[in-house]
Amino acid sequence: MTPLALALRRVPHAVILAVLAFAILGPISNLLLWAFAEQWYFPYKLPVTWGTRYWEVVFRPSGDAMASLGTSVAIACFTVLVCLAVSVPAGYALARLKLPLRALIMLAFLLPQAFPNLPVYINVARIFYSFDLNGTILGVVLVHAVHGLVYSVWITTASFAAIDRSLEEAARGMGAGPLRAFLTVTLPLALPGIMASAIFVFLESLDEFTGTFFVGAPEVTTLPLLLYTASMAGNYQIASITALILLVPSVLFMLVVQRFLRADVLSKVGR
Amino acid sequence: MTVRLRGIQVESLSKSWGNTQAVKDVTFSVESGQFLVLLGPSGCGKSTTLRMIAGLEPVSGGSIHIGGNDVTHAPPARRGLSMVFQSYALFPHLNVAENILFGLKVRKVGRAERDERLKRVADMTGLSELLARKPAQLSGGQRQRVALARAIIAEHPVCLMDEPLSNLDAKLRHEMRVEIRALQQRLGMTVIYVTHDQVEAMSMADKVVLMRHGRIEQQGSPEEMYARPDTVFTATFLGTPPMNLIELADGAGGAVIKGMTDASVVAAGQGDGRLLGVRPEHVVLLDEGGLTARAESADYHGADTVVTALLGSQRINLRVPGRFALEQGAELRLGWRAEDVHFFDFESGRRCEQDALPRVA
Ligand SMILES: Nc1ncnc2c1ncn2[C@@H]1O[C@H](COP(=O)(O)OP(=O)(O)OP(=O)(O)O)[C@@H](O)[C@H]1O
Ligand SMILES: [Mg+2]
Repeated sequence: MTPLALALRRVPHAVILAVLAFAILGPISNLLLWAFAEQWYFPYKLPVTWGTRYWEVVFRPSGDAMASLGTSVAIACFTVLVCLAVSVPAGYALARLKLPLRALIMLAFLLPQAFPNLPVYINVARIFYSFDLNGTILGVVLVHAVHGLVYSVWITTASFAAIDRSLEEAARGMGAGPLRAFLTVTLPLALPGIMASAIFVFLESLDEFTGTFFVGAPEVTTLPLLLYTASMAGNYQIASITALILLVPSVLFMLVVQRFLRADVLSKVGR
Repeated sequence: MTVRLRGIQVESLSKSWGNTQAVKDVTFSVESGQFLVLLGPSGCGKSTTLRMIAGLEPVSGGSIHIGGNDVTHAPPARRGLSMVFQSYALFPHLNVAENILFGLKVRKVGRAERDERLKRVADMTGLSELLARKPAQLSGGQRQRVALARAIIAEHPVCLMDEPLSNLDAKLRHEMRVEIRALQQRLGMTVIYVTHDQVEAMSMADKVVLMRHGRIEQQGSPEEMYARPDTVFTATFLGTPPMNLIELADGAGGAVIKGMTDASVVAAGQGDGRLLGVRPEHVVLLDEGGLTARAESADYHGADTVVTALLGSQRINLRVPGRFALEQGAELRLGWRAEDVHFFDFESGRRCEQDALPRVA
């Protein structure tokens, strides 16, 4: 085969890659353009004036953006804590259960995702209202936690199930009590999966919009809510910069998860 | 290193999961310092029995005594024993030294004593150079040694092992067999060792407990079990190739070999419904007389050759020293001594007493 024919055979791959790259990077480059545009209007293809004025606006200590970033991060951290408090014991117990029962319980955690979000959150908001949870951080955390529990329970169960049971038995046989065996053997071995699920929950919480909107707004303003209000008001610069800030943890997550989640854990997710 | 002397008594032990009964009415005892092998085919309940003794599996019935104390319901740590798992169960996140020292740390043994015991055990098992490695960086044989070191550093008088050699190749298995046995004798440990390999059982055990379908088929010293099997199952489970079992029939003047035209009497009394058992090494080639058989194939092993022949329509193996030049279809004359012959009931598979006639001219 001639070099030309060889090169031609690669063309479809190159085209597919280019389309993928455009699909992923296209919106991001648009965001970048908007983030550094001080003036940009029709019919210009590129911003008229460039600058970082809106970054200063966003990062002004007294600005809405920084405050809502703080709220977002705080809510995400609490959500992670709530999810771990449930999913570590639950995952450990579920991993030890027989299959049919386990599948049933794990499906139960999926249930909140099975229904359309909107009616669910409207109902949650109505119920929370009677508990005075509307517009509180706690209320938002609870809504995020229900959502995050799916990931954390499923991933944590998989990480516990991936651990050879005889390791814990060996520890018990050598005189370790149940708690000590769990803390020194089982937990360290499950930690990568637990970390990954925590990061997942953190990001989900950071990104969450619908539930926050119904339960938290207007008292609790998270970054996605701010983004929404900014773009509704036609302030694309603020919206783009907020979106870019939201993008940072996701990218970091991709890097971290690659290191933490091993194939043998992934292969057990949902089993 | 010395260990206190302790025996184990297992009485009517049973275990069931729902409708499946994995272990039924198992009774045996090990004396202090003895090496007992639990032997049997896959799924016969060996591991379940061992796990009940270790305290990892609650019992459904019966009792377990260690050193005279009833430990039937005691937690694993209270039983004063260590266990080597089939999968080794090494902690992947800890290095070799931390793995070996795990139990001592749990029991808050002082640092100086810990280090001293680690050094001794590492020397004994040849692991001194590997202490900083993680289990994933070890070969199968080295992992096996770590599992062993972790068990013996506890200096418990009793050690339970579940097929510890099954993941090793044949040569290493042989070496480790010798090592484990030597170590056990040096330390005076009481060992219960699970295997499905009859060679391991024969070469290591002071006492063999042969299990089948959750029950004990027969127990005794390897020599006893080999020389006087109570059942067809025992007779064929021990020894390679296994004992020949030849169907008998009633004939004129006693029992004859079923299906043989020139049937000559091999035993006094009844022949119908009986099996004659004779080990391949006890069958000899005769120059004249004996039973006429037709040579079928020969399997050369180096030190000897296992010849397969047809006695009428029934197959029989015999062990011949050195190399055997086989002429297929050649006529062989076979014989054995009366004391080397066993009789079993065909229906029940149980041994029965009958007088054999010597077939050696
Ligand atoms: N947790 C369990 N639940 C239900 N049945 C079990 C359980 N563990 C073992 N069994 C059953 O009990 C029987 C005996 O199992 P056991 O593991 O003791 O066999 P084994 O003699 O050790 O076999 P192998 O040589 O294959 O390891 C098997 O039929 C097995 O299917
Ligand atoms: Mg087993």
